Amino acid sequence: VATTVGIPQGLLYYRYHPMWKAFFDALGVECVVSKPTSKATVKRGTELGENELCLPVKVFFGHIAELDGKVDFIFVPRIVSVEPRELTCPKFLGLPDMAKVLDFSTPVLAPTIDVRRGRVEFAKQAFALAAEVGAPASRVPRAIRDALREHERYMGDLLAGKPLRLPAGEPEAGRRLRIGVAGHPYNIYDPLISMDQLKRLAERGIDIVVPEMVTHDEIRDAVADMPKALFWTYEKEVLGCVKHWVQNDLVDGLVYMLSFACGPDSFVQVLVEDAVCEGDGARVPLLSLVIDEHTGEAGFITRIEAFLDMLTRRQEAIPA
Amino acid sequence: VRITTPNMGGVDLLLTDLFERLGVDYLPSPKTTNATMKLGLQYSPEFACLPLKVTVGNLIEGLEAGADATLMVGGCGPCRFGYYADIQRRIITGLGYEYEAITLEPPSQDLRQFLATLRRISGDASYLTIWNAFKVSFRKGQAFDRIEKRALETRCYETERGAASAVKERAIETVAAAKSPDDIVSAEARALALFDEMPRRDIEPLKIGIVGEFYLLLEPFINFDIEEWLGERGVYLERAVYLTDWIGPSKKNPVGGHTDAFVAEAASPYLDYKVGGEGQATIGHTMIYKHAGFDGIIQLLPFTCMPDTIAKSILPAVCKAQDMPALTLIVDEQTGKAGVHTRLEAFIDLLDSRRRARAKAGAPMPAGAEVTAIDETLATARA
Repeated sequence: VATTVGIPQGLLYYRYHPMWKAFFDALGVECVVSKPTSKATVKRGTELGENELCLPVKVFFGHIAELDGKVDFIFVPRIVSVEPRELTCPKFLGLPDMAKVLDFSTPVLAPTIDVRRGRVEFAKQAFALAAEVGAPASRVPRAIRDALREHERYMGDLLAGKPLRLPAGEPEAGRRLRIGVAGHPYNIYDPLISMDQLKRLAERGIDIVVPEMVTHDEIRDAVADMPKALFWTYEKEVLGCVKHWVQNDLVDGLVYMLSFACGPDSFVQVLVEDAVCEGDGARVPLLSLVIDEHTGEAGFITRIEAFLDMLTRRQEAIPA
Repeated sequence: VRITTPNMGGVDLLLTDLFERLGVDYLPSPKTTNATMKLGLQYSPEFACLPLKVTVGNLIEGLEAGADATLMVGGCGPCRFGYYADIQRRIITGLGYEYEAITLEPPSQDLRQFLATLRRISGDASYLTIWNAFKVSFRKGQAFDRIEKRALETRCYETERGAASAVKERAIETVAAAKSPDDIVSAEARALALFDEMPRRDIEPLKIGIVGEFYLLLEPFINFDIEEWLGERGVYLERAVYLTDWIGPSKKNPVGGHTDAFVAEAASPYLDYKVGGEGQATIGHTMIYKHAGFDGIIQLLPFTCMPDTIAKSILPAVCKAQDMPALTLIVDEQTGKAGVHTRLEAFIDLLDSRRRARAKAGAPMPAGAEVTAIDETLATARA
């Protein structure tokens, strides 16, 4: 029987899962992904996690709980830095440590990903990971190659908007609205955390753009004017895509989804608000939706509907 | 320019001395009050951490009092603190204030900018002048910190409530008046001697270590002055962070007594990674206090503080494995003094009854050993 590695369907899963799967496939290890977030996942995660943690981390713990006991290992990488001179959120830095004290019976695989430490260190982590799951070291170079290639393909697909697979609804009236939905992938793609926002918007005939559709270079250029560069990579991307859309007049409105108690987002919110007002009075309407485990669906929908009504009326008042 | 800074413990004492040496016009922001909090809350993002909200209030009050420039330190993450200066500037200029926001980014980030900022603050003094002034003022800051530390250690023995705090005030005045490096050293000795003259009760006090996020540990207004409160109820205290240790470039922490590397090693069985802020130090110091025979620890953190929320997630496992009682106090703008005091009272009662139970069972009291090596505790924790 092949060794199995459980991959919790939360947090950075949305960004890296094809890469992880390719890596483990090449090692001859079977990946078991937890089911999409359900109410039960949230409930279990909220019981497990410290009260003050952000919802996505609690949800992540719920996914681990689902996998616990059913697989040989659970994959909780420590993703420290994915771009030179930048870091990720502290909670990613401490994620494996927080997971380990939750008393799960399944051992946690926690390689440290830190690009600031160079390729050799990266390779070392990959070899150590292979050794931990009992895969031969000879397969590692190929696994790394497969993983990186698969990641590139996936990022390319995301850029083209492919994995979204959203229903194409018809607009109720007038020109098709285009809305940028900004936020962390684990907030906007998780069906439960986001309350299926993307689908709802698409069904109403709205054109959606998401951060993954903005290129690395576009983000870099968009944030070049910041007096102080953001040191969190994923938050820099959220801000960068907002600035890119605003600067180039690409969207009619912005929905920014952030989770309560998210440290970086509490600040990025200020930067996003500044960004939508920048330039010579050119403003893009912004709806910030703060999500936590108590958020009610009805309140959420009401706010979005009001926002869409406002955008439609605005569109009628300002000829294109 | 007239520079103001936010309040944090004795930072104004240190900066007053430094800026006087450099001839910089310095106006410490008015003492933090409820009005400061209210001002900060009104304009800060809802779930930003409390120190940001309070310091926004401080800076506005400083500008209102007549300053036309603000000074903040920067940082390079991952804790939000590194981005405070930019957010403060955006909020305050958004309110229509016109002033110069000076940010001193750490030299590791951009050495040239760091040096240029130093020159900007000091009115183009030479680097040597700045360094010499900093050295002396920093030494003075260490003296202030040692006074604070001594007050934490002796307050529990006072025979009359408020005696230690009164001595502390006199001690600070003594050191504040000293100017030359030699004067500072001798003033420090005289100041610390004042504590020895204080009449003492003969008791075996409960020992509690205070760990957590540095701003909450250092700013008495925000932590409800729990150090004084606990000390006056007969608790011997030690604190994980002191101002000069926090600023200090050496990482040797001469006031607190443990190097950063040592604290990190102590934390490593449970949190083997620096997660920013004091996250790892909170765990490390808990282990050190356990080893030193303390009865318990109190963790202080602002609501939504990322590094210390990580520590809080891990702390229950540490406390369970090490048999170390801990009380975590999360502070935000809604936190009330009475609620905090009730919990502190209950915690002291708990520690007290643990002691009595131990005495009844004939178990030896935990030894108050000097912590130099933590190998034994570490070995047990790793096993």
